[in-house]
Order: sequence, then structure tokens, then C-alpha cells
Amino acid sequence: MVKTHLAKHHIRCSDNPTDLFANSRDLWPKTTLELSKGQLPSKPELVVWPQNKDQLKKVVSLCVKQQRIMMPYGAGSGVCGALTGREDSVVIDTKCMNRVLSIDADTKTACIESGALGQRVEDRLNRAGWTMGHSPSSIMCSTIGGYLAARSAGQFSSKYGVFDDMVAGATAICPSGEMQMGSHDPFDNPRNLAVFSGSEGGLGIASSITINIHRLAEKRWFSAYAFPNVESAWSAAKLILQSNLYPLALRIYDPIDSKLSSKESGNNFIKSLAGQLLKNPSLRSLLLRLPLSTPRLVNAIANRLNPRCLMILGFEGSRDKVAHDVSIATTHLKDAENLGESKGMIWYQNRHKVSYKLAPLFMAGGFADTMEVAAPWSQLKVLNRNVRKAIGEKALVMAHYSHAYREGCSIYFSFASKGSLKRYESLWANALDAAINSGGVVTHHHGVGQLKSEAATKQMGHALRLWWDVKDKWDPNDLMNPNRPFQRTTPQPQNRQLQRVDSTIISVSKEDRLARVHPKAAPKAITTGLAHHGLELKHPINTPPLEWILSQKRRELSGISPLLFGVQGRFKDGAVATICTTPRTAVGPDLRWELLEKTAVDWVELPVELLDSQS
Amino acid sequence: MKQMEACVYCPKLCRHVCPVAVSTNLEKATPTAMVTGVWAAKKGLISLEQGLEFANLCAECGACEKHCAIDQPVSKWLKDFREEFATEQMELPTIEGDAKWVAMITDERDWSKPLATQWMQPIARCRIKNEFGRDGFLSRNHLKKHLSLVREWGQNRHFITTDDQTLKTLLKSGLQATHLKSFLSDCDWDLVECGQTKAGQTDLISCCGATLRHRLPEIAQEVADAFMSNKQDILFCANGNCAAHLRESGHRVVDCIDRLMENQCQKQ
Repeated sequence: MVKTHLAKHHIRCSDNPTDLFANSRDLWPKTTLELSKGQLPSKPELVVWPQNKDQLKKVVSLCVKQQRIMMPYGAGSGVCGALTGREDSVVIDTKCMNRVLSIDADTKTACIESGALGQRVEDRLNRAGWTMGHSPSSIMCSTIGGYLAARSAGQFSSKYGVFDDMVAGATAICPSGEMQMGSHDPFDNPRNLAVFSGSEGGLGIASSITINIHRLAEKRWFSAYAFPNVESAWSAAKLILQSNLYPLALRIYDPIDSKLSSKESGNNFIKSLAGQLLKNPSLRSLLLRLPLSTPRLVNAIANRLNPRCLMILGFEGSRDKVAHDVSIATTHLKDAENLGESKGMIWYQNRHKVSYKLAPLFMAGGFADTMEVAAPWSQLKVLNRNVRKAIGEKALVMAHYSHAYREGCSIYFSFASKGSLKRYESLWANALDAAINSGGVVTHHHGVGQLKSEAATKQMGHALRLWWDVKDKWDPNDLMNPNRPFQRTTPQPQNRQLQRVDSTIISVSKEDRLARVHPKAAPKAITTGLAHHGLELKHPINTPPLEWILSQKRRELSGISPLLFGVQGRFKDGAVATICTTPRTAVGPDLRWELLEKTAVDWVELPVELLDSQS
Repeated sequence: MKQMEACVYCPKLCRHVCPVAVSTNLEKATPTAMVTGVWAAKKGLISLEQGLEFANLCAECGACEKHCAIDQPVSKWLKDFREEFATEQMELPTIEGDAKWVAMITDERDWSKPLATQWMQPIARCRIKNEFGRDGFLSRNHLKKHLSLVREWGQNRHFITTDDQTLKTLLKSGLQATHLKSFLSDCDWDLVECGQTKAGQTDLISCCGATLRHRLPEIAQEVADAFMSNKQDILFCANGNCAAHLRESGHRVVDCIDRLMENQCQKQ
């Protein structure tokens, strides 16, 4: 029926089994593991390719009339199962909407259709002298719409921010109609764009997105440093970032990752021999099976290796700016051995090749996956230890620390184990629990999908009421990718101690450069209160904090330093919701603006500086 | 089969260089999906017909292989699968005339007579039908099925062809063959190099999709249109199959035969 109607409007669609098969999976390792065991995902009923916004509107309208479930599909490279096939669904493949609609040198923005592949957009911008600044390892196989849907982050996030920070506006087609958001909205209301970002197809489908763009830099510099251990590398990273520097990249590899990737110097003969042996697929599979079957032993041995680890540091900008930033950064690297610029460039030139490393593990009968959590600096050590322990019980594990900011950092765990679905599921459940209990966010940039839905629901707690309010308005019949990213369950109360204090300064963290303040406190009182702690607000305010935040448009303070704040609010029935986005989070949409508008705010968390710090 | 799994489990890292995937925007036309389809068919998870559908989408340009960091021979696998399960029969073409020099005619333009006039000697003529029964080019399938017959058929002849693939097939058979472009006088043209991208311009489509023109005409049209959207209006194409395909798709193409008709052909 849907197909017949679409044909009348000359909208391309197909129920050919090969199209249904190809559009039924994303890159969730669980479905990959199932596929390796001969289990195919459920197939949709139809795949549709709208060519432009008008066709997209017709498709959505038709599906709403016929009450068909809709699933958006970009390049299908999500790793959390947001797009795993559903029976009786209509997949709306956005890739025919792939044009760069405009590049505006005055506003430094580009408007791009949501189905455009990231690499092709970047190539197009580069030819005109611009860059997105967004360089995820999936750039060759992901779309602009997907970045917004999952609140993606790229390898240059320390300088250019996460994708949320880059988006100025968007237009989306939802069951309730067309939504113009951010700079596409004449009123530039921050709430709609915030709540659409990270909704993973649960509210609608973006047709076009306007992003901030940047002139290609005159100079790009990379170098590599070796530290005696991870903790000293973290300390150096914190000092660099809290000096108000914005490195293009700042990545720390744990001792195992440093050695395995041949980034650290080692025995070249052994590496060369291993390389030759591992070229043979059958031999490679055989050699991989042993460590996959004995992860605890291998992890224990690995933990006793030399703790020396690697940092990759990079800057870009004008020649003078890069020289200035490097000179400041190197004052914080006194504990490190300088391994030279060529090692840094090697990382840069090969940074996307890491994605080739997953396949051999599946071919050996195991599975490989990654987990990206994040926390403020003060929680990082605990988060690292607890999640590593939870994963290490059943899988080989290593980690790198990237997407680093003033306030904290992401930890990117890579792990592999025997190919058992039961093991896969229990490992993830334990690791996500450990992340929540250690004060981290369960996803920094991969998104929620099916994989983290339960954990994300738990982490968001009562804040999800706001999501369901929006969902009920924008998608009243729950047709847009139902139950993703969140399932309709009663939220569990959060485990944290919930503060309700009437003082001006509720808490401070010098290490994280964050302070929680009363939302209606006078600016002078805040200044005085923070000064007692040797701190001041990073962004001076002239009205009480809540009023000040609400007066900011999303683009204010954007570019390199987006508006960053956390919030705790109380609903009328006394239920409390807390959303802390530090250092960044992709746990579903950004509901802070909803929380500010619809609850009685207990406190807001704002970035702070040391008093009299060099800027 | 085992090595193929590296594609099945890959995050589709080559999709942005595949001309078919980029031109059509079909998920099934990514090299990853094509190989996954063939792999699934070989494992019995989907039917062989569906596997063949996936394999048929490949334009054999090799762009994915050039891009792949682990050297997966994607187009070879897909071609082998097609050849394993394809059922078309190909017959050897007939040579008309006794002359030693034979012009391989692949469309409605019979250039054997103009060539004979310019060279002042008789030129024989050979019209090729491909496995789809249409004017085409001598392919590897001819060679595979009829090698000894091809050698016997072409003995004591010297073939002139307007297509690189036909030239390769003839030379591999041990026959004498020359591309018509070798006889053309110099002229300025934009030579289309199929299967190659210009450095730093990865958004250009690297292949016109000619090998798809009879297998999947609609897909081939989309690839041709995307290919030409980045090229100049008029171009010279030394590959007869590509020239024929682009011309049939409605684009302006000048090829060796057009140059011949302008009396540019000198026997060397």
C-alpha cells in the first residue's frame, strides 16, 4: 500500500530482498556476532529514498496516515543497534539527500542535506578552503544526519568541539510536521535543536543541517611523547587543557595500546615476524583464539608490563598561534620524553586505519567492541579502574584517553573475547553498571541505540519525563524508531545524594574547574563566594545564573568554547532530575533546556577558572 | 571465503570511493554489502539469485581495492561469483572478408570502409555480440569458454579494436591486435582514465559504469550521469566500452572512430 502510493509520487522505493537485507543492519557488534553465527537481522518491509525535503515530507505523511513504523537510515555505521532491522517498518534512507546546499563565508556556516557522507562533505569544503573540524574515525562511512542523531564526536573535538557544538541549525520532518530549529528558526529557540540532537530517529528525520565551518589552518603540528605512566600523562593533559589551550588532538594510550599499535619502540624483528604470520587469515584466526579464551590471564600479564605510555599532541592554526600554543604546552610536558614530530604525523596519517582491526577478531570466532565513557577529571581514575575491572573479567581490554577537555576526558575501551552472545551481553551490562556507579556517563559519542538503552534510561532517571513530553508532542503515535533510544519504563531513582542547598555556592571542584551555584544567586554573591575558593566564573555574568543561561542563544560563546552547564531540577511531585554534561555526553538528547524551563532548579553547574589565571 | 569475512565485518570504509555506491546511493551497492551478499549466498543464508544480484552491481573499476588498507580483492571475488553462476552463452563473432586487417565493429558505425579508404587496402569486418546478445566487446568470458577456438578463429589476422578490454582479450589469446588510437595523429583531448581518481579529489566518480550497461542499464545510467557531472562536456575516450556507454546515456563523447571519420588515421 505504501509502495503504491509512493510510486504515484515518483518517490523511489523498493521491497527487493537485496535492498531489505542491505538496510537491515548497522554495525552493532552484537548483530555482527549473530551474523557470524548465521543469524540474520529482521528485515524491514520497504526501503524509501526521498530525493529532497518535499519528498521526505510526503513519505512521513504517508507513513503516519498508514501508521507505519519509520526508521531513518544514513550510512548505517552506528555501533549501538539504533538501526537494526524491524519487521513491518519502512526504512527511510537519506542518502539521496546529499547536497551541500550553501557555504556562507560571512556567517562561516554551511548548510548540508542530512544524507551527505562525511568524507565527501569534508572534501567539498576543503576544495573551497574550509573544514568542518569534525573528523570521526567513521568519516568515510557516516552521514551528517547520523552525526546529529547520535551526538557524534570526532578526533579533533578538543579544538572544534563535539558535533552538538558545531550545529547552528537544522530542519527536520516529524510526524507532527516540519520543525525549523536553531538558526533555521527565526526565534532561534535553543530547546528544539537541543532535544532533537541525540534523538536517534526517535522524533523525526533531519532534511538539512547548518554547521559552523572553519578556514583551513595555515599550520598543523603533531608530536608524540612518552610518559612513565598513565597518571602522569593525565596530569599533563589537564594542565595543558586548563591553560586555555585547545589542542587539535590530545590522546593518551594505555601501556598495552601503546605497545600493540607499534607506536612505542619495540623489537622490530618480532613485530616484523608477527606481521608476516598475521597476514595469513587462517593462521591469524588460530593465533587470536588463545588470548580470546584466556582474557583474565592475558590482562594480568599485560598489567605487569612496563607502564610507559604514549601521548599524541597536536595543534593547528596560524603559524604564530601554533608556535605560541606549542611553547605553552611543552612547559607542562617536563615528565615526558619527546618522541618527535614524525611519530605524531604517523598517527595523523594512519588514524582511520584502526577500523580495519576489528574484522580479524570476528573471523577468529570472537567479537570485538568498544565502549566510550567519560567523566570529569576527579572521577577519571575510579571510572577507569572500575570499568576496566568489569570488562577484564571476561575480555581482553585496553584503552586510550581522548576527547579531552578542561573539565574531563573520555575513556575509549577496546575489548575482545570469545564469540558468545551470552558473554557479550553480560559483559556490557556489568561494564555499564560500573560506569554509572563510578560517576561517568555511559556514552560520550557513540549514542545509545539498543545496546545502552537500559543503562541510559537508568542514568537519565526522572529527566526522561521531559523526553516523553517532547516525544508525545512530536511523534504522538510513537512511529519514529520506537523504543530507541529510550524504553517506556518507570525510571529508577538516581543513586547520587541529591543536594538541595540554599547557599550561593553549593560545591566546587578545582580539579574539574566546575562549580555548582544557586540558580537565582546575585552575580556579586557568586563572585565573592567563588573567590573564597580561589576561583572565578569562566564566563562573567551580569544577571543571576538561570536568567543568564536562558538569555544565551546556542551560538553564543560557541566556536571553540560552547556554553557548558549542568543542572538539577525538581518536578512538582518532588522527583529530582540531574543532567551533568561534563565533559560531554551522548546519552540521548540534550534535555537541559527542558529541565531549566519545566522544573524548579536546585542548582546550575558552570565552568570556573582559577583566580588571576593566565588566559 | 575466510578472507571475504574481513569485508563482511568491515564498517564499509571504501563506500565513499565506489562509483556505484556514490552514484546510486543504494546501501546494497556498497562494496561491503556486495561482498556480504555473496558471502551470505555461499553460506546459504540467502539465495544464489540474491547473491548474484549483489555481485552484478560491481562495475569492476577497482577503486575499492585501491582504497582498502588490507588489500581485499573485492572485484575479483564478485567477478568470480558472477562467472560461476552466470548462465549466458557466448558465440564467437563472424569475420566478414578475407583481408588480414580486421576492424572490430561494436556499434552502428561501420568504420572498416573509411579505414580501407585511408589506408588504400581492404579491411575485413567483425561484429561482436556480448553475452547479453547485444553489440559489445570481446570479454574474458569469450576467452574462458572458447580459448582454442578463439586462437583458431583469429589465426593469421591482425585485429584493430577501439576497446582496451577487447585488446587485452585478443593479446591474451596470443593473437595480433592493436588499438585504433595508435594510428591516430596527435590531437588535444581530455583522456578519460577509468578507475583512477585525481589526487586529493576523492569526490570525483572514478568510473563511468560501462561494465554495467547491459547487465543493469538503469544503474549504469546513474553512474554515467554522476561520472559526467564532474567532467567536461566533450571528452575523448579511448575505451570503446566507456565511450559507447556514455554516448548511449546521452552524453557528448568523441572517440577514436570520430577521429577516424575526420581523416585523422595514418597507417604506421
